Amino acid sequence: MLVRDSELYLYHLALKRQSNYIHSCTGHFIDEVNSVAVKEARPARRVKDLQLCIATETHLELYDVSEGSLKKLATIDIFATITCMRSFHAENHANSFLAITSDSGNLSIVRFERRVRVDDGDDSIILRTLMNEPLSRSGIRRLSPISRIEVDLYGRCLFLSAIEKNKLCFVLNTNNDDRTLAIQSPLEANRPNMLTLDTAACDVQYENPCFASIEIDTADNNEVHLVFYVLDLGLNHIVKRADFKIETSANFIMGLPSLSKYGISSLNSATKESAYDEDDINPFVLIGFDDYILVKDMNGFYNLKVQIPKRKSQLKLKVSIIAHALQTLKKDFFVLLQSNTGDLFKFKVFPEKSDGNRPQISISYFDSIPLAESLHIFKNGYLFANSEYCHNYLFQFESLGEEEERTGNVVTSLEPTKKLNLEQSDTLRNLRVVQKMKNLNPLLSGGALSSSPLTISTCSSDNPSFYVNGVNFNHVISSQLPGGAKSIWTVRMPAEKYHKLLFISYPKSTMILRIEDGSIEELSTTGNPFRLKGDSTVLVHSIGKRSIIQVCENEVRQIIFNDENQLSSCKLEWFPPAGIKVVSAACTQYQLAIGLSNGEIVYFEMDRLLPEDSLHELQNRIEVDEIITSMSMLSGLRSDWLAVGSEQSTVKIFSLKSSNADEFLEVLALQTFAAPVNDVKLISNEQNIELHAGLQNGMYCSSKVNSRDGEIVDIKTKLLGIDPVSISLLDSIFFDDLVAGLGEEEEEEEEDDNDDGEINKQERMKEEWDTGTLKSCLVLHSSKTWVSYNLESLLYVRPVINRTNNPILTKVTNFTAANVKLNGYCALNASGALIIGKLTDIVTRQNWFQDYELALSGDKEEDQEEDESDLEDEEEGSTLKVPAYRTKKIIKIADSKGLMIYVQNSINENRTRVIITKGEKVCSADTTKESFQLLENIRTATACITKFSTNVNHLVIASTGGKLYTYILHTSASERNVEPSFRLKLLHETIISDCIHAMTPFLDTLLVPLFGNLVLFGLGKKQLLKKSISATTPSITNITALATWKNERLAVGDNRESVTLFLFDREEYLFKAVADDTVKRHVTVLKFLDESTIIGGDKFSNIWTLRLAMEYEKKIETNFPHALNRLQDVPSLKNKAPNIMECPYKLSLMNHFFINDIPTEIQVLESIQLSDRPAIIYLGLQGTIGCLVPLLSKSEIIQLKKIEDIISSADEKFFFEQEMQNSKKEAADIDDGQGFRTLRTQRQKIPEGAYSIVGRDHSKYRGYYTPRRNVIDGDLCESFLSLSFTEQTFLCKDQQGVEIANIKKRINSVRMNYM
Amino acid sequence: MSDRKRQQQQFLVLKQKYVGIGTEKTAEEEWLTNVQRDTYNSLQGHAATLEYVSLGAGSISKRTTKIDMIRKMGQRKVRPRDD
Repeated sequence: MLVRDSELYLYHLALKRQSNYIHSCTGHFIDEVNSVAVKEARPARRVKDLQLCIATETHLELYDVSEGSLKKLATIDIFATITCMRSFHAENHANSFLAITSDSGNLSIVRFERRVRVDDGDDSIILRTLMNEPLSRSGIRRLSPISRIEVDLYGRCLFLSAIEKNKLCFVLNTNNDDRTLAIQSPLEANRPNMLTLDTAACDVQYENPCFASIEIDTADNNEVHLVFYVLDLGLNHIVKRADFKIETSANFIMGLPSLSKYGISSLNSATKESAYDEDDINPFVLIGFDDYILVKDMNGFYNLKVQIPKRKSQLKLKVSIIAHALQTLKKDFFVLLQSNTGDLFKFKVFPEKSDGNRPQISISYFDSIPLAESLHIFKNGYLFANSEYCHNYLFQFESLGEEEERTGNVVTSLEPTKKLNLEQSDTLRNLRVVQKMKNLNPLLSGGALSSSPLTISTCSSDNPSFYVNGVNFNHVISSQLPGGAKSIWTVRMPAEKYHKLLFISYPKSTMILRIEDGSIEELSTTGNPFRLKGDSTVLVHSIGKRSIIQVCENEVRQIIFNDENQLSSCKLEWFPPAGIKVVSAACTQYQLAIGLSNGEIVYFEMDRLLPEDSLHELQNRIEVDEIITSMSMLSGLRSDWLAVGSEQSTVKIFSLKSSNADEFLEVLALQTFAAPVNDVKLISNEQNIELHAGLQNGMYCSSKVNSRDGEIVDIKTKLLGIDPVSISLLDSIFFDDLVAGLGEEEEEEEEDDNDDGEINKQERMKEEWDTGTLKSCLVLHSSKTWVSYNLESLLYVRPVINRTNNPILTKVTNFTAANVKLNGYCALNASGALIIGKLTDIVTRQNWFQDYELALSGDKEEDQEEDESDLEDEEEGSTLKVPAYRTKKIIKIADSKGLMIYVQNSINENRTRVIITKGEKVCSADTTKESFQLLENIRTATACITKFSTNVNHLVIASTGGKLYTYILHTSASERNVEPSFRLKLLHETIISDCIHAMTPFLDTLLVPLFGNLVLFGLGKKQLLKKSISATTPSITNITALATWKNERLAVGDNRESVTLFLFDREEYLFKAVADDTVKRHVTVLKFLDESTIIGGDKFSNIWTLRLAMEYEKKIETNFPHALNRLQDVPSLKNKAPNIMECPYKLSLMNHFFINDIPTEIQVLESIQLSDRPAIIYLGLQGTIGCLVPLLSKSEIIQLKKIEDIISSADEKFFFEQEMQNSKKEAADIDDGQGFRTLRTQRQKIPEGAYSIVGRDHSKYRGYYTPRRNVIDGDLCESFLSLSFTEQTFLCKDQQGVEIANIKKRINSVRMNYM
Repeated sequence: MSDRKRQQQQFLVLKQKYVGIGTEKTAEEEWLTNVQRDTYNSLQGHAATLEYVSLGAGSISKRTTKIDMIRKMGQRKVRPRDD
């Protein structure tokens, strides 16, 4: 790859995937780990469908609901646009399959599989492609049969339809010999000029499969038809069995279960003598129209009509059905239908006894929930609502709506015109919220609150929420200590479960606290064998079987417990030579090393076989000719290594292997660092020994130690702050819980009320401890506090989130007590408070942000700063608030510490709501004391904060009615210790009679685009005053985005006309157009990267950067503004085609990338998490939070590009390899026998495109509209990590200089250092 | 002459099969119909644009918008060509 200096190279990573789950289906996709053996024995038995697969356009998520909560099993990225997804059961297969159509033009049949990776034992769920059947061209086309899939209820065939004309039917078979799924070539059912609105599969038992669809005949006056297709399995062809003209408002169809099963006569008794056989199954469908539903059958006997109940408040609104869920019971069935007002209805078909059990239908109100894309009822009594916007919910059925039926609030088809009106309330009647799955969709606006820790403030539902990248250190207790505390240690005796003593060291004294039965009190000083006064403690540690060692600067004491477990006297007292002090110490259960200020190390060891804990000093001391700053040994029984860090910027590794007497206490390895070493820690993680060093210049280095010869390899560094880095170790952290994400909350809840669960967990933890999967993590202290840990072979160094008065922790140590059993910690913060708490969430690649929502007044939840798990209390179950506001604009108020203003529009009413947050708190409005202020009769189009020429912030709201409302904004947030509040006062209104979509402050004025002109408004007494009007180019008609650069330049984004760059002429006080684009882009958002580079996004989900070439910049510099007219890139063209040369210059395209989500906000952050370079954070409409990092060095670009190339070519490589293997085998087979061919080995069959799952070419996907330019797809690069070891090795095989470890390191470094 | 007729017939068959192809004689209306259908199909087919349109138009539900889009695909009638 040719890397040019003048180009800009970006690395793209989606930090949070989009959450617009448009596809969902249920099934039994994968067995639980422990039930695999059971399953083998009885393969054919059907398991209940208690798993849920939901998908956005680009990724799938698998959940298990069997335990009454959404337990996430897997997340799988697909680099394609999924257009439809359905699950189905095939004959003789216990697990469900997925049928996916995508813009690759293939029909993919896939299945979830469990895979245990050989190299690291990583147990993960992958998606295995069984077949990729090409259907049509790639892309989303109206004639491609990819828009809908219907599956026969018994998995016999798939029915695919396009929007226009084409329909295909695939017959599925199971091969008898090896029980693999086979697919026949498709049967076509094409009808020209027909548009398909909706399709459904009908229940016909084991008769020929039948499908119904609603179609619009465009050749015949847009008449709407209900068409039944029947696949004749015997003749292997598909026929159009019935075609009915129906009313044109039809918009929804679903198949009903076979009625004869429920004792309802499905045939018309009047036509008994006709050709219809009694055994014939007559499939019924439910069709939704505006305001009513109709049930029809294939034979046309019935037209059962019932009106859809309406809300009393919305009687004029046309209601239609948007989603359904079918629940079949043994003797009955019902359907939940959702209307477009969000109301759920219970729909039933019942036999009319007086009319020969012929069917009648009834509908009754059930409940109200947010609008759903789809609904799923699980057999264990749960309902999953996949919402169109905002959060998804898992409900539990409390009752089945019999109440409504009893009270007679039912309409039936016996009175087809009767209308039912209903009173809607937020209270749930028959359902109870069990779990909320937080989604960011639709993400209309947002902004970064801080860049370290990276905090993004958004508001996709009613309440402001924050997305923070960091590890949550939740605090349980925090109490202020006497000032000056230096360090803390918690001591637990080896035989005990909980920590008992807590040591706090001060410069000249030590305080000891005793922890007992949930209370902490100071240990009495009388008769205390520890040294408490006149010395500073360096280390406290339990040693031997029942001793504690206290290392002070001038003394070392060993205190032993007597038989009654009481502290008894000193066993050993040791003093350093006169004038020499102890500077550092390291301890294991049987070893103690003490570093002295003269550079000597004293080594003690205990004989573990002897019952009394006696330490023996080694006679020869190690002499290090350097000033020792820190020492470390591996924690545990006995360490084979001792690491010593020095002032002279080195770390030495000494051997303590007792088996090798020659090497004992000899230097094995030496590593020099860039600055004096402040702290070192040796830890062992997953059989690796790691050396972590904190340097005085604020750098942190993580490296591995070769367990054979002590060599230090694989050094990774990160800047953590300006202060020297010290390190605290938290061992025995139970990561599985923290990683589990959604499931974790549930477990936590269990923990609170269920002691059995806790005990199980403890047992599990013990097992983990035995198998060594309990991991350590390090807390790093500098000017900020960080955590470093290894996960899935990646190193994470992330900030600590700690919501106490001072977020900086100076020392952290392990802590377990009766009420903090797992992942507890005890810490000292920078303002001298003792904090005891618990690690709750950690950052993983899949789960980059911790989110929490702020409560507003009127909400039920009172706690504002509680974590998400607390928000989902059971009280919420009774009510469910449907979002009433949609956030229009979130603005960060400049030069105020963390003030964000949220301007929201009411969804149903003509009203605007303003919320202001300071940091992570909601400000209350002065006038009403509520946490928001309502502005009646305003619908906001856009809003802007500017100061004009005053010192006061003014909020200008542009309404859709063509007015500018100017408010004065007062906040008390700048004052300390005052509950933050705000006041909005309307100053005046200005009529502009244009609905505008972008505004920006410019100098001391407000820049408003009016009818294609750029108008600068100044602040007047009665209204805003026009100060200057500059004309734009004639082609700009609808300005949608504006960006400014240092009050000199302006980029104008048009709805169609891409970007035009303007320069501000201060003398004339006007904007002058300088450059425009050659391509039409439908701009949604713009930002300047530097004075000549603009990044922007468009409506078709692209992100691009444009730049004004350097040569033009120079010309402009010398000629602006006087000779602007003379500047012209192609002067001759100006006369011939003035319309395309409206501006002198053209911008050139630097980067282009398809992100599959419409960018709504772009922000350039100077340094995310103290990275060495700025990065671009973008927000996407469907809930994406993504990042673009500039790549600076050539080697970096080439390496990352190479990694990407390797993975994007994986599809081809694997396929070729397989073909090669197969042809070889075949050749071998032929040679084998004498003349006849024996197929010894089965032909391997991985379908083409199996590694991209749906067979989509990655470069085509990322260049969906325009070829991708100079952006490397980090998401794809990271997918390398989830490949199996054999696959990874195969991909790296023929690549020179590429190793798996290198790739992993490279991928890791981006996440670790740049974001 | 018969060759040309056959070619023309073949072309018409292909045109039936691959909707949207045109010739120099393609009428504006037909062309516009195709453009309109492709556009609306694209708007409803991509989740992002569907949501964008749905939010922008203040529509109650995304499904309603989707159905509306498909209906709009059929709104312009193709005039049968007489030749």
